[in-house]
Amino acid sequence: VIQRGWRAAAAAAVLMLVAGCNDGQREEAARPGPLPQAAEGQIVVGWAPLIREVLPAVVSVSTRQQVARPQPFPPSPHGDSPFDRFLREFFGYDFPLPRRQLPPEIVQGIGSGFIIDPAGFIVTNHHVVEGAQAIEVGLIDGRRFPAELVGSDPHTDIALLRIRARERLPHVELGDSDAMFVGDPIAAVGNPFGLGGTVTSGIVSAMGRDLGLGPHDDFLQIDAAINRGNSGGPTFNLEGKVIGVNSAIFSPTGAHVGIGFAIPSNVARQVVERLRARG
Amino acid sequence: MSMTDRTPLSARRRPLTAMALVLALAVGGAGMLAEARAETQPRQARAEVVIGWADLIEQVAPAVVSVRSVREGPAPRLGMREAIPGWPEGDSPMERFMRRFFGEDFEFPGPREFGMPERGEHPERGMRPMEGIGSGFIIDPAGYVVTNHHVVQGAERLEVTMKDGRRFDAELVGSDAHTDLALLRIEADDPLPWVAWGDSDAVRVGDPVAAVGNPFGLGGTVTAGVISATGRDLGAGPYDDFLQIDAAINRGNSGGPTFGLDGLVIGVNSAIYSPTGMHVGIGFAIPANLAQRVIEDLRDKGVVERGWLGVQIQAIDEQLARALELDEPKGALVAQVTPGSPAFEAGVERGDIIVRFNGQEVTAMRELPTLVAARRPGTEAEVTVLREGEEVTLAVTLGTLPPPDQLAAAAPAPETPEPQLGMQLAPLTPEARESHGVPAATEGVLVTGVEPGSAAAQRGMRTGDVILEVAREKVSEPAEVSEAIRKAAEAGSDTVLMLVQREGNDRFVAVPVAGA
Repeated sequence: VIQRGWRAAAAAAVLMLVAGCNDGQREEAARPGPLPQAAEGQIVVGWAPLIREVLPAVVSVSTRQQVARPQPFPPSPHGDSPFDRFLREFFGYDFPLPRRQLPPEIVQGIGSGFIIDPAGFIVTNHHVVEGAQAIEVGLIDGRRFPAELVGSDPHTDIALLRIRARERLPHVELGDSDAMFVGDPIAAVGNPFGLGGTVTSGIVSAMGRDLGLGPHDDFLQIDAAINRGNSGGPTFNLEGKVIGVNSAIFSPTGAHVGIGFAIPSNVARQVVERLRARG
Repeated sequence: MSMTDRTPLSARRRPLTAMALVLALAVGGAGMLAEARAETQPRQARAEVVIGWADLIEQVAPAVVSVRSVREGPAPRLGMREAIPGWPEGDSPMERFMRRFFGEDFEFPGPREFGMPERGEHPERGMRPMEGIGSGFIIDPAGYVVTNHHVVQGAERLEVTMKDGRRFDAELVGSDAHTDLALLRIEADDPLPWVAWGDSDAVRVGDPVAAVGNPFGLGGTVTAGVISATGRDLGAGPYDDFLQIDAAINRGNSGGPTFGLDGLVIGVNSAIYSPTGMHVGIGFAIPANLAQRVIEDLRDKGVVERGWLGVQIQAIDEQLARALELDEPKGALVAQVTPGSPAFEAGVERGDIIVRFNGQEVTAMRELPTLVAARRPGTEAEVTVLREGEEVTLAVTLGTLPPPDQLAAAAPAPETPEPQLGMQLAPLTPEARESHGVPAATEGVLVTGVEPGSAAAQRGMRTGDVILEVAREKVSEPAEVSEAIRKAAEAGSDTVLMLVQREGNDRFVAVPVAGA
């Protein structure tokens, strides 16, 4: 085929075919075909329209604190059960700077969060803001705000922040986590490794997981990629409602292997209401 | 089974089901709502639902190839480049990129290398090199194959293997280290299966994607995911504009395509971010629109010609903007002008802030290299700089961007503020020059220690740095530095601007002086 011919075809946004493809067939390919038979493939979710709506309400949370205790890394050689590891890796949230630049007593933390109220209330994880001396919230449009800690609940690992903007802020709504089923498509948004506004997709892997972390354990398990920095960020369902607050991963490596845990929105909602009422 | 691969017609005659884009469930005019809505309603929308990848993959996969590069002697690692958080030493682009994620305000002073030299062995991570394996895809039935520069770098012989098992010796048509792209050519008797470029500018966060490649040598591996983000600047090169995807890509996927739902190539998989060296859900692809331009240049001319100014620039953060008395942190600050370069000839000076190039606004520092590179060498251009508060427009004749290995390494960068300086200073004695490798021509004051957690440390100052200027005045004695800082504090400045040299590269650093 003509060396340049393909460019015109590309402009028509067409699937370009394989060897021996003649122009007539390419013409034919120039329109999306009829809907395929359901049996022909699995369902793939196109998250883009939903993400465009909800992304502005997802924030990055950064904290600074001075700590007297030793750095959480490297881990001790003891306590190497999967859950110890996972506790260490994910709830060992303190995010040390690379050693060379690390001031011994200043620890910077990163996490995620989401705005649930145009007045600037933000849900994140307790472990993201625990012990922080200063909390800063970054919006996807680049605006940054100092945040006040409204209240925090170590038992469920939920914290509520508040930022004050002149305008009403984009926000998302907590959905009904009890209405989720294993296999439902979900998308997580957050700030893994500081990569703000990262969207990852997957499904609900399991419901009602007890991780032995607290008396109220009832996690949603998801397979979307979440990593350090995703803590406190939302997991959305297909309706764009938050059905979980990403809080933990299980991993032998400390990074995503396909097993993440989110606090169900129905748990988060109760805690948020309590924190908002009483702090 | 290879017979079916040789007869793609059967696949092609099927209805183009995979392209049938949308069941279009309940998108519900979300777009229209988006602009006008006051923020009184919670944000919500429904997803669109589309039908899966299998048919599409069946059609495009034959155009995806494995690339094997053969070398004499020990093979450098090929395949995915990784960024390893917590890696303390070294200054490769990826390590710098990694550092930035740890809170440093990292930035690049100018056109610099992208084609990262593959990192040496790190036995503690247990990462062994794959034996010269990467991926690629055919973009023309005549046998042009796109892959990554870092896959073919240093190869003595290149071999391309197709899905149907056919194996070809490949010729290297051209390679571009700046963007990490390379073009190969294989000669077959018949026209080859090929795929076309899509429009990466039209890609939206959340769009489904599928990557095809050769991870760990497992040719023809298909992984699916979504676009996680667009326009990522990884600090890997001056033209960084990566698509981020969550589909699993690993070592060996380098150079392979990422497809959109229309079966067009929207990205060239090139890097991952990972603390483990393997897929953690964060992969990066060179966007098709950039790749296509580069590949066309490589095909037509064998090289990519880019305009060159010859300045090292740095981004202007809020600290620097205050120190430079700017209204807003905008433009590209000239930290160094290469002697004899086009910028030098045109009269660009250190400390100038480039605000426009050929009439186009330079809002963020990283926009400038792209603007300059887009112009052909030898063409005239106008550079508008802010100098002492006045705009000055200079005429420059662009040179040719030298290959990365001839460019000075980037100067690493400062970070965030803290109200203490906390540096130990010493004069540049001959012994000090010797022990810190400071060139004889450099005049300044040596930093011999930085207190952890201090303002200077937070701004990235390090032992061995040389302070050349404080508040735009040259310094050569520690006392002059203290004096200049004291004056700045007395004058009510909350930051003081210092020009600092590290490993031969100059850059401005704004250090807070409040409370000093």
